Amino acid sequence: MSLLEVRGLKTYFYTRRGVVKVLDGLNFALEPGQIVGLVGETGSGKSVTGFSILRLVRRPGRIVGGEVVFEGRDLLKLPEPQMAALRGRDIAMIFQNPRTALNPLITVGRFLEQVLHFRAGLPRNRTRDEAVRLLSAVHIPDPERRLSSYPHQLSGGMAQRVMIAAAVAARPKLLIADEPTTGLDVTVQAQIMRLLRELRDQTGTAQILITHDLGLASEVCDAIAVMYAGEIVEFAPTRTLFATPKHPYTRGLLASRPKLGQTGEIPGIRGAVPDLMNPPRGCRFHPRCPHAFTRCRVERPRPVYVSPDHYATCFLLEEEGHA
Amino acid sequence: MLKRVAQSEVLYRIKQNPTTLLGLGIVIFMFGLAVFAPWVAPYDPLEKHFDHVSEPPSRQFWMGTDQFGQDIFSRVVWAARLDLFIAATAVAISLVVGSLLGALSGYLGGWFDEMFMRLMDILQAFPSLILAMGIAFALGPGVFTVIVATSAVNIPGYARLMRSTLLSEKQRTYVLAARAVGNPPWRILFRHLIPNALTPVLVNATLHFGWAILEAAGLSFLGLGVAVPNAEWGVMINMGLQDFWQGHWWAYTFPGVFIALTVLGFNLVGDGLSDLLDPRRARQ
Repeated sequence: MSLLEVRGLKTYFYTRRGVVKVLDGLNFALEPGQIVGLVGETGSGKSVTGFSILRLVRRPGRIVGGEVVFEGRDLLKLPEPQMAALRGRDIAMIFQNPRTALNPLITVGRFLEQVLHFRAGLPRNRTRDEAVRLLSAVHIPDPERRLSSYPHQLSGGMAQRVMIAAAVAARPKLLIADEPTTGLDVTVQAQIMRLLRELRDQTGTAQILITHDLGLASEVCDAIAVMYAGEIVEFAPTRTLFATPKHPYTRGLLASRPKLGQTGEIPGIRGAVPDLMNPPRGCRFHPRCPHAFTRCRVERPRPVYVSPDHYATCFLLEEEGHA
Repeated sequence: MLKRVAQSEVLYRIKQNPTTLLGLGIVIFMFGLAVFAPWVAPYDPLEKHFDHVSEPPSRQFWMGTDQFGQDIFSRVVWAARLDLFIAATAVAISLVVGSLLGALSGYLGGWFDEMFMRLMDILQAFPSLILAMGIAFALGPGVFTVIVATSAVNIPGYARLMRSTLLSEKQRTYVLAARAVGNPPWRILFRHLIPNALTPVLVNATLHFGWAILEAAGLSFLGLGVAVPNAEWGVMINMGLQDFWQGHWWAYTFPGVFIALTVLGFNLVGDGLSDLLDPRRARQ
């Protein structure tokens, strides 16, 4: 059984200008211990997906339909207190710009000890030692001394490690990492990525890594879901995705990565992300797609499986006879 | 936050700022009078010296005597105790009640927020002294009345300020992060939001201290607050004014000067503090 199964998830934002259908029927599944990357441009709905799973979508956003089945229970049907009890204990989340994600008035030690006491259910007299252990597990030097640090005294990388330590304190089964390395140095990025992977290998925590950086995702993810305009347009094991991308958008993304020693212009994807208030009819990518034909403009493509663990939502595949 | 204030930097910067230092001096002086009133005042503030009625300042009565032969200097000193007590209590009550209600309103939002803010609008639609007079009139004179009236008229200001800072704090990522580790709503409000939104409210409270003294003295001056024979600055000005045409200037001038000085002192401290604690203003 899948650890998490998202079925037909719809999250709309009710703005003054109209309804923005950020997610309009999203589907994907996650196996225990698996790391899946949600990759897409800004505004493709990848962060909203993360927040929707934890039911932390802020107004004017609202989850209007679908199911988020976690260990057999539909989270969207849980009463709020039960949902709150599940956050941080079964599903945890870390954020971009980690320094703003820590309460500026609470020391690292107090923060961790509270999470350990309330979430992991540790008695008060054991939280301090466990906090030190957690900090050293995320490779923070001199953890004893760090307990009394305030967030403004931490570097970005350090703050993210603290966030990770807090997130895994209660040994959650799923960790949602929303652009965890945005705003960090490249070297620190690599360290954080290694840490996330290490965590999975040691504790078996499944992870959803939300990022706009395909290269970064390829370093740690077992599988990658490419998102475009609120839909997953291709889902495949990382290696397969890089070797045989099926969706024109994925191909465009892969082609637009700069390569070492490359001269001349980097090929981009022409056009811009569609306005989700009035998404294009049919395939949402068709206005930018070099291969678009009549059917793409009227009919919404459905996932076409090229192998049991690889699908893409594109009519081209049907034409090729995969359906 | 309080710990950080106590630590060095803020204290150092106060010392660099002569007007704040002056204000601090005045405030400390007034509190000193209030605390040590029994030792500073040469006479009982209510004692009537019948052979020294309405005398101008002299070596025996430094600030003269009023129409009952009471020593004005002793009364001014004792009044510092009463007025500071009233102001402190009123500020504390409006601070706690106002910011709690404002925080709740901003946090809950929706119809509660709407109703509560409209109620605050109604309260603020009256000039505050008129409203205070109305409340004081309904309750009848007394120290308790002054405290209730003064704190009631200041509650909307604190509520509004707390609500607006809380609304902006609410948007910050750490609140989301706190929810993501499973904090229940009341913990988010009391552990995360209120402490982070408190600084401007506290600064406002120091600024309000002077106003509270003015309001309290004003009510008593009008005869709606502390009753007549008591030693209170507003009451003393009122009594002194009755002898205005006889030219007994000392009877109303000295309490007036003390009110002005105290209000000035608190305002200087409040201004200095808001410069120190508000990073946006400090950078200018």
